[in-house]
Amino acid sequence: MNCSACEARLAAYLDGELSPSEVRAVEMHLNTCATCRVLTNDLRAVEIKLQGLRGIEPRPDFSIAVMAAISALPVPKPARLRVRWFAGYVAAAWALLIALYFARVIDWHHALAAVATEFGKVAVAGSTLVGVGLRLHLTTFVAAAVGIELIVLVLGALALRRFYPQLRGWLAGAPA
Amino acid sequence: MPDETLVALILQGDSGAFAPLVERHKRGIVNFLFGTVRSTEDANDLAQETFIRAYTHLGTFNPQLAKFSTWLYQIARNAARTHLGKERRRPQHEELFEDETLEQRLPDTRREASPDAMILADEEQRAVRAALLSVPERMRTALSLRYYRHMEYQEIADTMNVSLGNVKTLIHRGKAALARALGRARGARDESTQEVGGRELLCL
Repeated sequence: MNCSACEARLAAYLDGELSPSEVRAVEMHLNTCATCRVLTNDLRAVEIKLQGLRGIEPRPDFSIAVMAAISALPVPKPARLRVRWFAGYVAAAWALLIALYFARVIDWHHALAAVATEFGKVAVAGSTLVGVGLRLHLTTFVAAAVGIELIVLVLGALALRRFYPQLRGWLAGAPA
Repeated sequence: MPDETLVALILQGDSGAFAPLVERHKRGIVNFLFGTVRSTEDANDLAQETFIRAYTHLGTFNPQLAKFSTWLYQIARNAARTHLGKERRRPQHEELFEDETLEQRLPDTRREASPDAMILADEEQRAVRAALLSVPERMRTALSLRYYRHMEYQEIADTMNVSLGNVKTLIHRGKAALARALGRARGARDESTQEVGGRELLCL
């Protein structure tokens, strides 16, 4: 075992979380390496000091002061669901669209034509991709597409795993 | 009565139900903050601010997603971060802890000075607290929750919104940083003691 491997296991070693064989490996390294031995002793000493930290008592009037401060505040109400806000935004957007139509700022015919053009563009792009796929080799094309899809899914899963606690905290809504 | 039941009572209009919540958690919150900020005064002020902020935003608390205590410690941590941010923007100068005098900071070179166990313990407490303040915020928070609040690793992970593995790493690295900071402080103290001792010899 080298120093970096020993250092990586030191916390688990001091917490008694290593398997007997790993404990033996760490102890063998500690017997031969003075630097890691010093680090282990330092960490043990810090642990003892941290365990010896004394806490404090809150101010005698702590609770009275808090209750006095909140007595001046309105009683909190359960937060409304965000869905309601979303429904409100959608309704407002539709109201605005209808108002703009009646004010003759927008024209439905032009708007529908623009949407149809966009769909047309998507269809052309799709058929071009399929054409290219057929020309190259369909199997290769599908395999590449599935491969890319899998990579995106794996990256997404990893990102979700990494940021899930933050997301959960955000959903729990601790005020900043 | 569980915390979540008291929260439900408050949301139904019984603001007095907040008093048992304050009583139940005030010591824990004050001590957690004491581990992250400089003085007892700051810890108490921030703890009061935490409870007031929690009361104001109680409507957004979702008991299905987190325990009330976890949510409360998250608010306390946010309050401490804001406070430390403001403190960092202020002009930097070395401050004494509130229970420390300038005489205590200077090395005691009197020949008759005897090592009093109580004084040493106090000195050590101050040294560890000063070293704690020098480690990065995430490590300090993890260490404070562990050693001032005696929280389990999983509880710390929930409070800090990080994984269990991250908590173990933060605590391990925090201890290593603390050991280095204590070593530096000890070195500086030994140097100044030698300097003062040398000056005394010159005076003789």
